[in-house]
Amino acid sequence: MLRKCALYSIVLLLMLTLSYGCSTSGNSKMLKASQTDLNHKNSTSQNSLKYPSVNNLNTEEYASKNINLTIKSLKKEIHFKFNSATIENIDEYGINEDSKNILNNIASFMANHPSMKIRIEGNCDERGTEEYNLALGQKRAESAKGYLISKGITPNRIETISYGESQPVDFGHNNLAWSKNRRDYFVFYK
Amino acid sequence: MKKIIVLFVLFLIYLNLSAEAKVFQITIDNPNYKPIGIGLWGFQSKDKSSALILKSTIERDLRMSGFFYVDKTQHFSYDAPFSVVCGLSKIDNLDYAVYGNLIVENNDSIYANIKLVNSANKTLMFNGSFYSNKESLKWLGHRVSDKIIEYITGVYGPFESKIIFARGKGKIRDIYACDFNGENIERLTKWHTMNILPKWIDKYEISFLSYKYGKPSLFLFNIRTGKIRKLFSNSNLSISAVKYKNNFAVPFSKNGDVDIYEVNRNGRIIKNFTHNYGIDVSPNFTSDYSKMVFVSNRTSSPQIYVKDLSSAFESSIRLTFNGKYNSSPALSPNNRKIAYISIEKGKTALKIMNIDGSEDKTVMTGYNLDSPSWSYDSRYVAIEAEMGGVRGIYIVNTLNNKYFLAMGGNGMYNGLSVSGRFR
Repeated sequence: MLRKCALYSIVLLLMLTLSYGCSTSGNSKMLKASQTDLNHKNSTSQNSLKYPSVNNLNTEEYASKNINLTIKSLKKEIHFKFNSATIENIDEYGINEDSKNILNNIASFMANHPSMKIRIEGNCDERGTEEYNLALGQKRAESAKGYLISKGITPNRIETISYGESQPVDFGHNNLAWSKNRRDYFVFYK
Repeated sequence: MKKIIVLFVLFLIYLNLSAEAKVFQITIDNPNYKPIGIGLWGFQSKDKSSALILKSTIERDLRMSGFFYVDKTQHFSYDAPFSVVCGLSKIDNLDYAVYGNLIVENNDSIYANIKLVNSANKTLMFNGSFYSNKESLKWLGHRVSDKIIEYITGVYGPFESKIIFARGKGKIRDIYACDFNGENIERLTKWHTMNILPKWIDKYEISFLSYKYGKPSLFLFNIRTGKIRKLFSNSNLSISAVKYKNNFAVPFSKNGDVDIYEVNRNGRIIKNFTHNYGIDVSPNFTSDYSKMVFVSNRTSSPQIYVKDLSSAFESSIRLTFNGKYNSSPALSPNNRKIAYISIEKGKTALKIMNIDGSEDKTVMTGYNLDSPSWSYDSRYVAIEAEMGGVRGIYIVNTLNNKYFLAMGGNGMYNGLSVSGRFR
């Protein structure tokens, strides 16, 4: 009796296996697609958790492409009024920007990508003096850092540096050039 | 009636005296004064090229001094009698004449005999000898120039000194040294990074700020041995290092504020000079270290202050009240004057005032004026500036406001410092 039962169960198992094989051959493309999606999902989650994965390479490329696209869409500088390190809306000499909104977007991006770090480079226009401008550039960078910290970004992800007046983007001697050069520039890195 | 006439006469005498007083207010710092005419008629020598180098160096120095009109028309024999030389210079409307001879031995040793003639009273003011080697021929020229300036103006000239400066493009700046007249440029650093704000510490030692290791750090460089060592990097931003007794005064950023600290040679912080919310930078000390001149934005805009270091209490006194931006002070070696930069209507101005803030006057106006530094005679200021579209280092005579380009072009300038006298 036991032998018969074992034989039936083996036959049943074979039939089930065959029927499953027939059904998969008809929908192979769909399965591959769904498997790929699954891989992506796994890999994305693994990447964010920083666990090693067999799909690590694809994962990084996929993730970094997405991050790069997001970084490209972010504004990477804010501007300041003359001799000021206060973060405020600017609408003068051809610069019209909502600095806090730009920093909010950066903070949101940093929150969504915990592996990313940021370097804030403080700059000044040519009119001030070298030593004072180095200090003012540092103050400007520290202002943006303080703002990002207030939005929940941990200080160890934020680096500041001042270039004073040594890195102008516009070499003109007019209000537009000066207002362009009074800026914090943001560099993202891992 | 008699009384009225006497009073009227006395009134006329008073008017006459006051008019005479105004006439006698003309001084050498009047910008419209007539330059002193000096004939630089060359030096007799078998080594023509050396004689020309000496002549051109003295000519450049005398022109840059801002005191002289230099005439180079040589129209007499070197062997001509003294009276003939005086007569010729008087015919040319010159006040003085310089001539002499130059002997070069073994193609190296140089012997120069220099004569300075006062053509007005026909006297030989100076007849002296100078020795050097061929490599230092231009330096010999500076010594001759300084001597001539001393005999004519009463104060030894400023040309036996060196300027160190930062220059470059993009993110690369290097430290260079040159003579006070802008010649003999030597590059001191080759780090392919940003090296700025050089300062003389001692006769052979300078400090500068470098981004070599990412964040700005201060370095000491012995120009004689070529030895470089890191002085201070304990901050996101340390700005400059100037000498304070046997240590240094360093403005750096700590907890978001930039204050001035005393730091020893090993980079250890000794004490605060300032403790203020905001920015305190650009320390300068009197030669006895009893006072510190610096910049602070404690009243929202950058202004110049002086602090009495002998007092136990906070004793900073604000010196500048005109304008919203006064910065980059430089104390003269005689401790009497402060040169500084002021911003007026988008342009920058070099101003000079007494150490107590009195007698404030504008000396020069242009773009990008920065880093004024006094010569050892306390009469000249070397400064970065862009004048008439030419960016470079200018030498300014603070007595008559005349300025001359010492060196121009080749990128941006980021700080300079003038040495003491090299003897």
